Amino acid sequence: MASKTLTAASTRPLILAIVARGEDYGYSIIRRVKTASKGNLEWTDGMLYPVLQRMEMDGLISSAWKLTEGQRPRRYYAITEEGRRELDKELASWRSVWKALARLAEARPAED
Amino acid sequence: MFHLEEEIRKWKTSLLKHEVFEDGFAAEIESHLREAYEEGRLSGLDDASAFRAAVDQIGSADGIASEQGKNRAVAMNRRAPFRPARFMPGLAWSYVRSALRAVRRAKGLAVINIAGLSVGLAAFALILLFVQYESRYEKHHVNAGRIYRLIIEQDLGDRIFLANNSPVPLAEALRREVPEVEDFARFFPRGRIIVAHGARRFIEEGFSFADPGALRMFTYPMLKGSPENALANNSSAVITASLAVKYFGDEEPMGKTLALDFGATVDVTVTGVIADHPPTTDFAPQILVPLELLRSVRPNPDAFFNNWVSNQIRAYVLVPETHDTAVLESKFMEVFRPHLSESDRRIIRLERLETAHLRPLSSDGGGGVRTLTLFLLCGILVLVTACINFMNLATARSAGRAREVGLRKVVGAARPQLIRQFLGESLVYAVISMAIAIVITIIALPLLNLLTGQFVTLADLGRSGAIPILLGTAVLTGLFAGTYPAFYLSSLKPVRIFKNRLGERGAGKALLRKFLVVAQFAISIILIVSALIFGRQLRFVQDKPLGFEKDRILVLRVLSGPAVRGIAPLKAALLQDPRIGGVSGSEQLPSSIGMYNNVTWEGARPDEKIEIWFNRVDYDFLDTYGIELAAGRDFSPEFPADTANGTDPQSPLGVILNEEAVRRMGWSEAVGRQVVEIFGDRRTYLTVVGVVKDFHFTSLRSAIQPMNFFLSTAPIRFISVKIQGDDLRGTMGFVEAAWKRLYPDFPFESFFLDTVFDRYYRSEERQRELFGVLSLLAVFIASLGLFGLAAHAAEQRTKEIGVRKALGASTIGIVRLLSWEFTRWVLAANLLAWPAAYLFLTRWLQGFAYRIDLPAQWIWFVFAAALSLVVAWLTVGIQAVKAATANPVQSLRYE
Repeated sequence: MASKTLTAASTRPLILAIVARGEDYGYSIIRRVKTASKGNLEWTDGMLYPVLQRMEMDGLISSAWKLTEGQRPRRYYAITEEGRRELDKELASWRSVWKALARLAEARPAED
Repeated sequence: MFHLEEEIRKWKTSLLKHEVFEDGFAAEIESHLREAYEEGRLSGLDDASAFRAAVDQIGSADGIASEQGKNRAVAMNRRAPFRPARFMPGLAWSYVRSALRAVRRAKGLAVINIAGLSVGLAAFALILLFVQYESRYEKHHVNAGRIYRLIIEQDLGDRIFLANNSPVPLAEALRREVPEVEDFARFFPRGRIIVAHGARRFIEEGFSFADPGALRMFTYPMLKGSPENALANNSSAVITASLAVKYFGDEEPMGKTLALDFGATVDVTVTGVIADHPPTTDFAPQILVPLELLRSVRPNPDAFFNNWVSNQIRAYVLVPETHDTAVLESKFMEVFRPHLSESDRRIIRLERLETAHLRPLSSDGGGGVRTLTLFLLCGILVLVTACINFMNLATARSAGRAREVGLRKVVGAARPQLIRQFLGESLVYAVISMAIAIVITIIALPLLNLLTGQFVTLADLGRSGAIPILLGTAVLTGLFAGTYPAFYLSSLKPVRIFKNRLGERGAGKALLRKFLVVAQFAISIILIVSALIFGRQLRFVQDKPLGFEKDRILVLRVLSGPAVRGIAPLKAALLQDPRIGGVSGSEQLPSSIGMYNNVTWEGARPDEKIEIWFNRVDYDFLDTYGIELAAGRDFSPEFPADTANGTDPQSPLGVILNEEAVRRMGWSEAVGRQVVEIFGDRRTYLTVVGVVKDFHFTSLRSAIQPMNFFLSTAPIRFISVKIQGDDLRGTMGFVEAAWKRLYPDFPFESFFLDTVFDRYYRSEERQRELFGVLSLLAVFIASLGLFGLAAHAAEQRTKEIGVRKALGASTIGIVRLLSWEFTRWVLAANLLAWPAAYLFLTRWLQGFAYRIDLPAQWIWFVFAAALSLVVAWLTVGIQAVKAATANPVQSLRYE
């Protein structure tokens, strides 16, 4: 189970990654996170929405209500150009953190 | 029993208790809840469990709300602050409406406000027009800045005398010998003559002999003929367009003959027609004939043309654009000096044509630059009063609008918007006042012309620059007047406004306003006192015994014909009628003696001489005018000395002196003593036969000078006829009939002597009238100001008055309470005004040789004070009574 801090820190990159693959709505985003993390990331569903709103305010994603025949109205989120750039940056920093962590963790017995 | 929709409604209601959730946000979470529920149901949970699981999954509303709250805060911080547009068209109507409401609420005050400023602006505009008209004199001459009149200054020992005329040969000599003199023109005006063309025969004014240079130097636009040769030969004449029409109608005037009779009779041919002169000139000759013509009509022309001793011709010279007057004067003196005798101390002075009207070298009062400055000053004072008033009233009016300001602020008005609103409103009032002022000015123009004798037209108003000045003044006044509401009211905190905590504020503001009212009243009082004292002085001058009779004297003007050479037949014919009390002829009228000689006398120091004015009169002159003898006798045919030629000391010519002359000669007994008249090298020996009591022979501005009478039965210029009894018209008819019988070929022209005196004091009379009008205006405007202020004060103290009345104060007590305050201020204004008026009037009175004693006129100062108090009490009283008689229930319920 990922720590609260890590969960919080990963929320935005994860959402960006999800909507980068195609527009999506809140419930579906939560499900995808749960599926992808195999239940390791525990989100309180309601907390997603303030985050989405904040990201929209920051111009990373945009949203629109969609009414489809036979379905309930849903608010769909799509990534913006700025969102994509943000995602690239997030990926790069996560990777460098991961690399550093992996290198340090593996190198420890040799160094000691 | 579980009911899904009911549960969702409850859940949503609890969620929406948090303000941060908007409807869209709630809907989105609701949608999430429903999906979670459905999934729970699909996984086999029952209704209630699935719902509870979904609610748990979403989490606590508080947590979400606090997270959403952060977003809100970030959004708020990021938003650009609200900035209202500079002008919101949507609000324009609201501004107009609230302005109109303010007017409706205090109609009287608004009318007073606008009326006061309009009247002030109009008065200023009229004065400006008057001043500009006066300063336009002679400016129509293109060369006005280069033309100088030769003035001769004479040091008489005790004073400087400036003669407006110069010796005949001087100007011509200057042209010949001083290179700077580009041209010259001499005029020898002879006033009235008889002009005839066929059967048309009129007396014309403005006849003058002139050099041809006159047409070149002065801007006399020639409609016919050329300036080069119109005055070239001795029988030519140039006339004005209106004379051409008068004599020739539609016919071609050029080449026509006119018979001129100026004592001598000559026929001249019209060789030029000049445009009529504008009214703004002091010298407007109507008929010009060549100066050279004098050679053929004067008995001894060479003596005239070569006379360096007498100053007898009006002469002008034209000099280059850049010149130094002092240098020119000294160069001119180089030319003049060789012609002066040892003892002759005459000096040439130059009077610039451009400024001759307002700043004449020899000023004998009237219309001068000082009068204009005085008027302009008064105009500015009236304008300032009106502006102060406008500001005061505008301020008073706006005080009731604090609540409007409060409301506007509450619904989002920013301060700059309020400032613009109030300034704009005040500007609109000012511009309306200006428009009304222009209308008043246009209506009052004929009145101004009547009062000043000017010919100001509407076109002058347009071109005077008065309108831009008025507009500027109005805009400035509007801006100043709007300052208080704009900056003070807009600074108020709405909370204070609505809690009614404005009452006790800045005593400073009220003090300033009171000071302004004091200033207004002081100005009005100064003007009132001045107008009253002017009136007293003029009355004094007009009523002062002149030392001779001026009423009921009919004067006949003798221009030509046998009467010039003697009036014995006419005298005999007139005296047969008992209505005629006396007849005598003279060269000059006793009211305006303008010729003088230098004399020395028995017992004088060598070289001592005085200037003595003289008049040549017929027998009976003293009787006709009631001039009293102090010693000796009047002229009489029984004494041959009265007609001696005086060239020989052994047979001196008899003269009558006035007492002043005797005094100046230092004699105790004059009769029988010798006086010698000096004229160049010529001496005339005189013996005193009589002494008359002093009488005023010029305006009372100047003191009585030494003068003497000579006996002369010819030439006669004026015949004075004293009428007895009340039948003036009938007697005039009799005189005219007698003239026509004796001199059928010569027009009869007569006037009453007292009209001459009216002319003497016309400029003072005008000043007095203008001051009267101005002081009325100032009082009017000042009382408007006081009225507004009293209204304002009464309104502000409505509650106080209500409480006082409820506690038993009497109406009179309250009126006294309200009036006393203003009374104090008006009294203060008097204290300021009195010394100022006293100083000013003392200086003005110094211009009169015979004047009233100012301290003895204290009653008029008191009168002005009383008047100002009465006006103040009346204006304040109306307000005070209104406030005091109001039902206290009404005033206490107010607000």
